[in-house]
Amino acid sequence: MPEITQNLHAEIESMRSMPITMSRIRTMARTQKVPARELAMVIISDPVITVRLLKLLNSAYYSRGDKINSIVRAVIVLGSNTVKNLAIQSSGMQARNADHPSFPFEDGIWKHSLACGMASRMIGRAQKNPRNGPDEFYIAGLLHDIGKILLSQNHPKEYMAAIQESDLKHLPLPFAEENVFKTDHQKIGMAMAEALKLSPFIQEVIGYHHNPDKASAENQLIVNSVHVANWLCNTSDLGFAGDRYRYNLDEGMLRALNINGDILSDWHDTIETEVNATIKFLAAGS
Amino acid sequence: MKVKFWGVRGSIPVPGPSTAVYGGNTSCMELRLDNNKLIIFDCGTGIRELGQSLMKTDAPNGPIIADIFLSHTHWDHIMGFPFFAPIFIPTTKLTIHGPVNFNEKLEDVFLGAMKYAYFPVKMEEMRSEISFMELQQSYIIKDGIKISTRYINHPILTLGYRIEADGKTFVTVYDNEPYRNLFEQPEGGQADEMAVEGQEVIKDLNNQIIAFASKADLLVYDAQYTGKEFPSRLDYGHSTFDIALKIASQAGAKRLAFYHHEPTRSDDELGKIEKAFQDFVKSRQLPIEVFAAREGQEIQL
Repeated sequence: MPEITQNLHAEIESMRSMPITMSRIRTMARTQKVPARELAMVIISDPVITVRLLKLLNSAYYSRGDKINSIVRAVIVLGSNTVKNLAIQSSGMQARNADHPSFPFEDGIWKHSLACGMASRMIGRAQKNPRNGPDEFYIAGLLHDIGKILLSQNHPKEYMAAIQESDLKHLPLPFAEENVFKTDHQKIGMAMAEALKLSPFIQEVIGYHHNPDKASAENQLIVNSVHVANWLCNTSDLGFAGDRYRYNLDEGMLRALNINGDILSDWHDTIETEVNATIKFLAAGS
Repeated sequence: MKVKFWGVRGSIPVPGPSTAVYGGNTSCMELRLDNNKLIIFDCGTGIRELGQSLMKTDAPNGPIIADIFLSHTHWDHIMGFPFFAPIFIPTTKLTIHGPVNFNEKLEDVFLGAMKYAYFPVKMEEMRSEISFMELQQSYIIKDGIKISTRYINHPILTLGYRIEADGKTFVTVYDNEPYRNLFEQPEGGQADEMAVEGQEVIKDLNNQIIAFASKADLLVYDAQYTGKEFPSRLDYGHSTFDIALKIASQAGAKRLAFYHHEPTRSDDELGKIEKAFQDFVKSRQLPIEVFAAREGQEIQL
């Protein structure tokens, strides 16, 4: 399906945020003064809203020279009200309709993205003087599978076929995606991140989280971190990434990131608790 | 370089006996360079009298050509434009610069306030040549003048301007509220990552404003509120006299004009505040001259 790459902008426009966040945003739209913390938490719980907001924030209209990758910074710079309105516009509230059936594992991929964001942030916290802040580690993890969200939301039948092929033939999911789509979620995600002019570190995380050796020297740490976070979430069944064929992790990479196996098992419970707390938070205000 | 204040009031024009000294017209300033180039900041109601003045001083000598820089498009900064007499002269050429939101065009926003329902002369019927230039945060050199713009903190996208020409620097920072940490935990709460990051962000942003105003020969700064009034007006997008002086001092500005006066502030009240700040500066021997801008006041830089 080479037309996916050719129609990239239309494909991006068709993406939708999660029903639970859209519902929460509908409530926010009716509220005059939404607390900054609540606003930020809703935004960073949804990869599609986050990616669209980052696109707007880094467009010529709002750009302050440096790329904005932090929702905290965005809310302080632009004010809660402006960010709230941008979030409403970014949530694609009109896009979801009966002609656009949802992908069966949409919920699983969303929870996987959330969990991967949280795991990446934890790994980021364990690093000494990283180039990126904890918030950027989180955003990188949250968005790493944005290409998968695009493919599975816009082409649910074909994406199910890729998952089945991966499962039956014990193929890594990107290989099965390539067979079906003539592209994979890393490539299409990276093309999307480039088109939206997201920061280079986000582009590399999206494009190389399965092949961290391809990352540039300056973004190697954050790409490695998301690679490990992704592995952790996959092997621990934190959400479902559609990928039942799990890759082995290079233990040298774990050591380089100051991570040992015991810590990873503790993180599983912490992340699971955080994911559930996020879902509870979104549901409470819907 | 010479600056003249034609409108100094914030929010809404307030003519009347209680504002006759400082003036009741909304934002408008005239900047004249040594080569007589005309730059106008904002089109509040003060621009009407500027227009009358230009008809006497400039129109007889040739076309009126000017750049207009809008801080933003709230009413009090654009409502005087239809009454700016030079727009009805065919030889007048105006370039209107200003910030806009991502889904709007400056021309549409500006002219939206001049629809037939609001004003009887349509844009097409104005005989002058008017063009629009949308601005973001940037740095440009035009006709040898260095113009830097910086987004400042107001409910809609708003720009401050830094003009460097004739060996002098003129800076505007209005309408602007200091950035504050919206992620601060309630009193007694422990600062989490969001609160800590928020603190770093506001430090960075407020330092950027200070750098923007650095060594200004004249800094025109939002001083709508007193320190006492400010807590009940958070998020309105304005500053206080104290904040203006603090920023101007940290920036090493030579002169500070308190600007965008609160519409309910009488001449008596404003005069007392102005004197109190002048006394304070004198008592502390601060190397800065402060004053509350008043209509008709001219400053040679």
